[in-house]
Amino acid sequence: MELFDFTYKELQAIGLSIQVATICAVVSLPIAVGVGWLLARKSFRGKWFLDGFVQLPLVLPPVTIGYVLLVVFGVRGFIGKFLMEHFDIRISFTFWAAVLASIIVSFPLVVRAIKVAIEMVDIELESAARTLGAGPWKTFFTITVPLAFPGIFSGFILSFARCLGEFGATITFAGNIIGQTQTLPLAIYSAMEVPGGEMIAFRLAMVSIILSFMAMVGSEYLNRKLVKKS
Amino acid sequence: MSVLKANFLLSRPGFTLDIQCEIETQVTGIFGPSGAGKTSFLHVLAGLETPDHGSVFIQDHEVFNASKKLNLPPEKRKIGYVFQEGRLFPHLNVAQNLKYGLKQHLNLSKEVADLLKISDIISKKVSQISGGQAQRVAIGRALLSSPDILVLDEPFSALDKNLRQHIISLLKPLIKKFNIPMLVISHDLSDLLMLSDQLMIIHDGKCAGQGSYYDLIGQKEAFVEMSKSGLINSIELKVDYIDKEKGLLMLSHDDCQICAESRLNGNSFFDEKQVTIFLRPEDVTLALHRIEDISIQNQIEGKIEKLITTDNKVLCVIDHGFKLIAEVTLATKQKMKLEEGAKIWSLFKAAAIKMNSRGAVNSSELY
Repeated sequence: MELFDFTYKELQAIGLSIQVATICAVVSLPIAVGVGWLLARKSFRGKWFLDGFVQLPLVLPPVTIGYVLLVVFGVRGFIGKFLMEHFDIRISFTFWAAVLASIIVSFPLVVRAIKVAIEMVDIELESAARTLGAGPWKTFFTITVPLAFPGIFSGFILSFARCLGEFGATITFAGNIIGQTQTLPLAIYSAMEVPGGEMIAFRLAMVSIILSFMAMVGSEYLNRKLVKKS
Repeated sequence: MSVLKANFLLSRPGFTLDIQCEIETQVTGIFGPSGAGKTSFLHVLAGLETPDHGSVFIQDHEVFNASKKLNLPPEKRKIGYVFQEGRLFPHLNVAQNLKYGLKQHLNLSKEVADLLKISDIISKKVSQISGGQAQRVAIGRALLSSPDILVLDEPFSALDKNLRQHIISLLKPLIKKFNIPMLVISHDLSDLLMLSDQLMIIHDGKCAGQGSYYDLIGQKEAFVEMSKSGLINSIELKVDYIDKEKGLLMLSHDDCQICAESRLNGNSFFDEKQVTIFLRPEDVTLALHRIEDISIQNQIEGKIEKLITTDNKVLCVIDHGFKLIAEVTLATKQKMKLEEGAKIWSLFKAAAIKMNSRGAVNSSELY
């Protein structure tokens, strides 16, 4: 049946998408937990700036994000040039460019989910833990994280799902290289550009919808279970 | 060795807490109106709020000194804090809550659970236990963190009177057993009198008096504060026996015998060797001699220790081996020629005595 007749290239795009989304969600999570905690619990000078900066990718056109990443991490960008000259590392138009673009685009979503989850944890419980001899780290890992876990987990899934759909920043910063940077949305776009590629586009779109749907439904199910348990 | 020595200033918009105090007694009750700064005081001790100036010593260890820039974090102060609303961790069960601050080398949790009568609920979730049980778990949890001092911030405010008195009756042996100094905040004077050796009055961000209840009555500012919630006599007595024929519960203090109504203590008085009775000063009548042919059951002889005259009334502090406050009018004082050192008889009805009524507490709520 033509509908399930995936070519190697298509399977590569699906595999790459899952790979990029998984790495992106795993890498983003600890950073987002740290930033979310800072924004939820600490008062410091320039907090509004950090908050705005973190949220910025949410409203910027993804192509703009890709462009900025290219300016910074491209072979002629100030970080990219440094990495190339001193460590012979190239980021732009590689697999890692697709990961970086996805991280930047999805980061605000994860931070927002985690920040809200931490804000919901009663700060008085953290004070109680401190008076019982728990230092800040023990308090964080034994009280804050377990109580905010449903929100943290939601953030993780949101990040994964957003990465699956990432297009603009990836095509600008990572390109559309088959087997290296061509993720699902890019493969769908390419198929639509080629005459007769409608079936490929349809197949991949279906996969994209199913993957995203499974992530969101799975997250909602687990979240409900966790909330019920706690 | 002092339990606590605090001398600090904490300024917040619209509120200043300026405290100088030294506490040496085992159990100190902190009394004062809402918003006076009682909780902020405990927060400063526990390191949950930082004063602008001054110093705090707990068991002679300096935990805060603004000029030395010393400010130990809460976890290093060794203060067991029991919060008003318990603050049990909802994701942990009762046993895990109890053991949260437990030091590895100690294995007291079973003993504490038994003393607080929470052994049966140890594997329950926090959401499955009642308010009274939650508060006892919170007390146990604080005790098991091996604190140098235990502080209780309105621990009984969410509980009804019977439950409150039950927890107080459980707390008393714990205090003795663990020999940990304790500060307890309550807006209920009778609760504090049952528990504490000394009172500290906080009013408008300042310490308005410190000392025994009967000493504080003689201090104007402290007296005004305590009067607002109603003065009360709190007397610890030995239970002798029940006189079923007369319907009386016979109590005593040294040679002095007192009768209360036997129904007051429900069915549980046989368990008790000591009870605390409460008597309002206005329920005590004074006489110069013993009066025969009168319905009042209790007539005890004592000596007037102190006379405190306020705007329109006189409070007599009478020594009967225990202290008793009686309230009379100025006219009575003049008519009876009351003076300090004079002998006097205190008369009060058995029905005027209030007591811990453990028998009235719903057993399912307790266990």
